[in-house]
Amino acid sequence: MVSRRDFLKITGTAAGTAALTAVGAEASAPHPDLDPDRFGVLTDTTLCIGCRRCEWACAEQNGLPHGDLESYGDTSVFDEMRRPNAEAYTVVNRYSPPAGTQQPLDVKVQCLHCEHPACVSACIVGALEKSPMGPVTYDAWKCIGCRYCLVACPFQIPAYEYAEPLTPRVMKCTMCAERTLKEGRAPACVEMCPPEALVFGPRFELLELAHRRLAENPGRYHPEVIGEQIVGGTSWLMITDRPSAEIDIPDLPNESPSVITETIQHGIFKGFTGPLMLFGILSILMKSSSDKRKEKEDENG
Amino acid sequence: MADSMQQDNAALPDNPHDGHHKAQPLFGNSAVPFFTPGVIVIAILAAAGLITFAVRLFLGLGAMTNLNNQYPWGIWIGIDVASGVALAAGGFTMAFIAHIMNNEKYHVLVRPALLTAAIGYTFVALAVVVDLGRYYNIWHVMMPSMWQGNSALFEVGMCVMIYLTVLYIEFLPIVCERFIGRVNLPGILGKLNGFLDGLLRILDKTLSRVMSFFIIAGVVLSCAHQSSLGTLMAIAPSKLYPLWFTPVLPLLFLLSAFAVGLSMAVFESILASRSFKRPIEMHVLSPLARMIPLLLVVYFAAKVIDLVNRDAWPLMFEANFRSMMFWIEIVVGVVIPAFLFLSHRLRRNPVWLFSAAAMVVFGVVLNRFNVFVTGYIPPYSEGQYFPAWTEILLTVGMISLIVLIYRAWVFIFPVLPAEEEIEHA
Amino acid sequence: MRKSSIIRLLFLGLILIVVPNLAAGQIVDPKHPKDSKHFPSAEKVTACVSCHTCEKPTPDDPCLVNCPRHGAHFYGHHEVAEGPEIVIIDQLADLYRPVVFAHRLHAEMSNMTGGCENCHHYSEQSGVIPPCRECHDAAKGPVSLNQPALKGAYHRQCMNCHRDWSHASACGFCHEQVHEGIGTAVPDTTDIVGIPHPNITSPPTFTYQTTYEEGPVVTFHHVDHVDNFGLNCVDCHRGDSCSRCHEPEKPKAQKTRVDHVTTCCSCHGQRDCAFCHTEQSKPRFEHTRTAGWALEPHHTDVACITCHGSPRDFRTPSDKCTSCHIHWEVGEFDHGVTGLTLSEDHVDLDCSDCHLEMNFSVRPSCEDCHDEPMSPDRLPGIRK
Repeated sequence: MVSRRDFLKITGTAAGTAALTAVGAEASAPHPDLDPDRFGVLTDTTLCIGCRRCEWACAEQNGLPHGDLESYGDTSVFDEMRRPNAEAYTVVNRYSPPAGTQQPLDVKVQCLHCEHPACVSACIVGALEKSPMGPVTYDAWKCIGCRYCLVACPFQIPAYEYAEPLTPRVMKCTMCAERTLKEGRAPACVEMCPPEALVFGPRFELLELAHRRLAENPGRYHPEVIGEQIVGGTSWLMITDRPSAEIDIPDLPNESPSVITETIQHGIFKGFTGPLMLFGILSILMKSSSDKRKEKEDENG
Repeated sequence: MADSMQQDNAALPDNPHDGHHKAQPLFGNSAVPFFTPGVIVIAILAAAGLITFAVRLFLGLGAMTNLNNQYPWGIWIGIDVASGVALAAGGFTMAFIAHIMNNEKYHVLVRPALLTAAIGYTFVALAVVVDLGRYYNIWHVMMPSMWQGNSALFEVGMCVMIYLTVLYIEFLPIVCERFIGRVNLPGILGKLNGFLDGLLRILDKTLSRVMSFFIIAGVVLSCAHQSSLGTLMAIAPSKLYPLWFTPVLPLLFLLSAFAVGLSMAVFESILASRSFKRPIEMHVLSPLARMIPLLLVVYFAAKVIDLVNRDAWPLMFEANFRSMMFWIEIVVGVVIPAFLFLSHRLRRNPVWLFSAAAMVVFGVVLNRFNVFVTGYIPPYSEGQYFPAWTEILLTVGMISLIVLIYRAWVFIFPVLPAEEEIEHA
Repeated sequence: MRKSSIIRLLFLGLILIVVPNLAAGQIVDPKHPKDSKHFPSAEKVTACVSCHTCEKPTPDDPCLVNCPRHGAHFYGHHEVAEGPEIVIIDQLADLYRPVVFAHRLHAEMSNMTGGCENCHHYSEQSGVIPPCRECHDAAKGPVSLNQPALKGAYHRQCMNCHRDWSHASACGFCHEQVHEGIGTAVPDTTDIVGIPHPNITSPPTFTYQTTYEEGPVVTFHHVDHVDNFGLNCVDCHRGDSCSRCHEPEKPKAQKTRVDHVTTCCSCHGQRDCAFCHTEQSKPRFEHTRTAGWALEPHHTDVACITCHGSPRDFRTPSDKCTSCHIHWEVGEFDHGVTGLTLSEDHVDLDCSDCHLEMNFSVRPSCEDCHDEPMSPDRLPGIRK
């Protein structure tokens, strides 16, 4: 019979395994492999005119279903808040003008390309990858379709081709990696943007630019560069005229959500220390209990 | 087939591993027929589930589920996979108590628990396949070039795959035992009988030497992925309702797996005994049940300390659907059964014992369901996810199939102890 | 003591000599081109830091500060009339046709607020305003992150006001697509109160008292001209200036009588004086009274020009239906609209079978076809 003492042992070892998980909250903010000159995009929502040309350019570039250019002049889509989906990597939403002004605020939504992306950390086969140069890219060939990336993304960006029976893909903005990484060209949406509300360039320069704009036009902007700190930073930055919560950006800490899981994973499984320790303990337990049993049997006869 | 079995099983040798415990297939040793009206209903449900499964593989997730971009995971993950893994914990907890702690008495419960685990994990794997958009790529997980060590899902996937293999290996002696001395191939193949028998004997011997390695490995692997299953949702701190989200989610998953493992052993033993019209093994179940409250209390304490530590406890007292689910999970699934198990008198009553075990099982299923479905609140959601009828049908069908296969196995293989064993006890 | 104070003096002197030269050296770089940008005048030397952020700008990396958008680099004053009337913007005409930009009109608008500097944030000391493309590169991406490329510069310039004004960002307002068939018409740039202008509410009727004795009252129903006669603002208000409405305090060129007469007579030129000059105010236009022909019920939604041609080229159409409805064929015309629904026997007949020689003003009679009048009402159908 298992004594109470033995049970404390069981729970003790278990707790020990899991306790490893809680230790070591090493900060993870930017990914260590990131290139210091990595790309980014800065969206200045106060310059956006809501022409939706970026949506068209994106669809055109990425082979997504789209109508002709003029059909994107339809502003009735602003009646409801839209999200990127399997057929559109990016959408523009319209928010009411701030008090005392006439111009509505148009906000382009797309993958922010986190510096330490939860989706990449979650991906079971490495189909999602963070390029050292910024973009978070997707390899449909590797993907097994578990949709853990959709669960992990704090901004709810990746979309899934649910309607596709056999070859569904995870759909999200790639920062036009085939242009940016191979040709050094700006993403299609940036190139298209008429008022240059989108600027493509090295992230650190964009950060400087953003801060300069905030400093030079304090009345025009809310003093925060969205993407500088949130979830450990994102490659895509944004400045706007109001607090980020008012343009439906979730309230998130300045630490990647994947820090928790990665700390746990590495805490337990680094060099297989945890499992090996447990294996050792269990072996000793098994040996001693069988010895004890033999002794008992010998005594009994 | 049944007739030949009956003759074959007339006299089985003693199980070489379980010492003087003797297990028997039910064919020829039980008055209960394989098919009863209840079993036929279950068989129909299982067939429907299988059809749904096949249809899903060709029609895609959009056609068969209510999943969307906000709710990428539904009951196939929350119940079939997460709860399935938790309920199959009986395998490793019983292996620990009976083999590692060398507790003679519980050996009779090991084989049924092992069988449940093996079937359970097989179906977890199938549930994963049916939920994968590109299920035909599942082999990618095994390719070192695509390994992704940061992913908790990778850890779960690898562990489950290896553990499933370990379970099958642990189960092999039962197969050997069933066929050693009874290999009887028809016609010309009959010439191979002697050779195969020899092979089985070698296999059996080898296995008995290395089995302790696999038993320990099984426990280690189980601890690893039971907890990693909790790590899965720890990646969504902003989306999981604070009553459930905690960085120690893996610890809570592991602790609840311990408790539910033993409860599941009790639960299924009583259920099987009732179904096969055999005496209930109260002489082992009652003492086994004595350990459960301790595990429940540890789990409960961890949960309470965590809630207080994170200042999330006030949410318990907000009147909403989620707090209600939480209360049910805690009160029905942990507190009440803990008290029931603590009572010496109720522990000796099969009805109470069964009820308490069922409550723990229910509580853990609800917990997994809450963590993966109810508690998951994505930003920009357009409405709560509710499973499609096809999702429910597949889940029900799979559970039915598990019951059916369990029944078939215990009828064919020596899993359950011979009845005289129980009567003598 | 003496020795050290001499050294101190020498040192001080050295500083006094060297430092100004050091400072001057930053500006008077012999290699630096002596252009007007850096040396606007002999007296005035632009301080480096007002344009450059770094100590040693090079042509490759000029490290320019953000151009101050207003005032700082704009010299001189320009009259509206100095600028071109129309500017064709065609530097980026790949997707769209060149934009026709009504410069004069915009200059006039701008003149009411900030002047040229509203848009032109830089001019040379001489007052010459360089074209945008001289600094803002037409290349697809911005050369410097601090400075928008030409496309961005244009759009920000235009959209900044246009969004405030009309809340619209319809590209077609300025652009016509290059592709055939889906282009939008370029708006009339002289029409300053047309589509882009927020809705103007005008009194429906103006009543003028004149010195013309035989008919002192001139009633002008603005509402009729806009709503019923389908005139565009620009048809009468061509050449009006913004300040006419927006700067009421500003003395404006008084319109002479002749001006009014010219405007009205551009359409009503054939009329005699009494058409406008009456003793009492005139009621609003009513087709039945004026023409003796009721528009009701079938012609109320027909635009005036459909029958009468353009206001300037007014014609009186014939009262014969066929003068307009010449294309009707058997089966197409619903005879019921005349109030008489044809019976089954008559509905398939050719129009000319009853209306001889297609003369619809003469009422057909049964005897034209039938030997005797047909019962019951001598009608080929039912009158509603």
